[in-house]
Amino acid sequence: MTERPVENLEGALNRALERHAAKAPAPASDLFERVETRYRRRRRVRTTGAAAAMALVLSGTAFGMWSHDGGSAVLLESPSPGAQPLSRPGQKAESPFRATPVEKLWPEAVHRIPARLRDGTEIMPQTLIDERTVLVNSWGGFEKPSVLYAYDLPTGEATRITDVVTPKNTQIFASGFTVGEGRIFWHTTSTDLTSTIWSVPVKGGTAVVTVERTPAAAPFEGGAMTAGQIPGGQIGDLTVSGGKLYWSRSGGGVYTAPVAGGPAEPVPGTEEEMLVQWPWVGGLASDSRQDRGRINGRDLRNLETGEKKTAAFSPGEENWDCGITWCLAGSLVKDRSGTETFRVSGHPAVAPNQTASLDRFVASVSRSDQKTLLLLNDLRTRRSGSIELVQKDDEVSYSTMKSSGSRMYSTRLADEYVIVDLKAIG
Amino acid sequence: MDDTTYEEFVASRAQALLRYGYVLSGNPHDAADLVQDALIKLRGAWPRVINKRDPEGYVRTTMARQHISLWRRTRRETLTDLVPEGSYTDPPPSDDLLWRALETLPRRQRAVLVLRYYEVLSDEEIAAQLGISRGTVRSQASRALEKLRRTWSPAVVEGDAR
Repeated sequence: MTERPVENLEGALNRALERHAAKAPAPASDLFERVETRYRRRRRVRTTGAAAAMALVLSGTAFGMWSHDGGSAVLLESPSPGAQPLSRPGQKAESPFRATPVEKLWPEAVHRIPARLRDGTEIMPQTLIDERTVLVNSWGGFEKPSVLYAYDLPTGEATRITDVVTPKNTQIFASGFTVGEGRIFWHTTSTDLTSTIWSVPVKGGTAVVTVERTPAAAPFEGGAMTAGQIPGGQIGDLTVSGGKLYWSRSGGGVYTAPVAGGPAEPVPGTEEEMLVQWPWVGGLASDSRQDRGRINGRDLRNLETGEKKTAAFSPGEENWDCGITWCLAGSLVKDRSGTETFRVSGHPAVAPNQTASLDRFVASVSRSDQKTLLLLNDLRTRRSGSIELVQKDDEVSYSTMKSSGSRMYSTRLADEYVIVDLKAIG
Repeated sequence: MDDTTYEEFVASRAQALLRYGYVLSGNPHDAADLVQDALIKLRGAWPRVINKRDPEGYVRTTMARQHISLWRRTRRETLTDLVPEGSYTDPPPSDDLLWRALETLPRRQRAVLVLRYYEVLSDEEIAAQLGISRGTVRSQASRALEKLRRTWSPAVVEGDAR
């Protein structure tokens, strides 16, 4: 989960880069003509006098080499049969998605709530408790605890559920909220990289420790996302099922503990796996396991039935993250069988190592000079619901998708949140 | 990509590419140079690239590699007279501080950070894009972050941390 990130250097860096990117120069109005002119000039140089340089050329798709030729750059490329026509009739569009505002596309699934409670307390949605109730929290700050509330969508009433306890030495504050079997669960992580799982009845009460000191994760190395690492935490995809909690430990391994409380136990045989979406676990990409081709979730198994799935990839394909049905690599999407490959528009708004939410939705951000749209792309129907983001001082902020099992997407616009109940989309 | 011709690609993606060039280089002239050079290269490679269905990835890879290449460092050719678009209101000071601190980094370190935190690529993707090992990506990133940390303090950043 990555959401209005806790201020760390990495988050600040991302914001600084995004903000300054907006100050880039505009393209020259005659850019295309300039490029075309220089292309033809270079081509002449190349075809008339660069035979020797041809020997330096790499393979067909490798990057050309550059040399210096009396002050003007010469582009050396692999041999080609001659200039190709600019138009390529018959080339199909790569993104099959068409965007429609979310409220028009999925009216039954979209809600807007104010960013402050009636008493002025600023809140943030965490997940949906049911189709009419949002779990929201306030955040305290110095000597002021965070509070969890149940926010009733039809009436706008917020009911206090509990105070969130933040123990000493907490490095990662309460996150990963999930609801099941009448309780709300979340976790905090200490500076020693062990985590505590907390819970409280949905109806309210005192938060209790459900699992103490879960096994420590590998240290987070300056923002490097390697296979199995969980963005923004040490516990991933906390899930409730059949009286038990399940989660992925950052870096690999699926763990379980009783909902009623008790020690964390590793799920046997999952040391190099992660929770994809309960009850599916997937193999982690691994440099030592070249047969997996550095593709997360290429091999899946169902912990309940023992069923297995594998994804079709050609040798050399890598850096994909596969869920139950879909595999993602940047804005590229393909199905497990490899028969369909397409692209979502814009820049993916999916945290590293994450797969499609509810095995179906991927968020992306599409910018034009006038506006920035957050797109919720439904991989099943190829429809995109759009949310127009607020641009303020050249800055656009939005939330990425939460964990793949979460039913809610929400993002803040000025003084309100738009909330999409992914489960309510038909 | 909805666009299929080279001309449409240039028209629709030039602004996004300029933004990328700008965060890579920190300089509007270098940004314009990087984009033009990469587009010229794409022009020649268009039939091959379009078959791979990722012309933009090709251009971005070209830009990143070009930017960190030795050859680039010695070249200074300003081909454009672009004026920046829109208003030039200053971003908040903390962002400015980081942006300025980025200028002190060697090109390769800066490129690694841009790919990680602007392009949001994994270290493996960065390694593939820059043609360096993953270990190098990690060491360059950690060195760069270490340097930035010296000039950056979380307390300075505007207070909307959640």
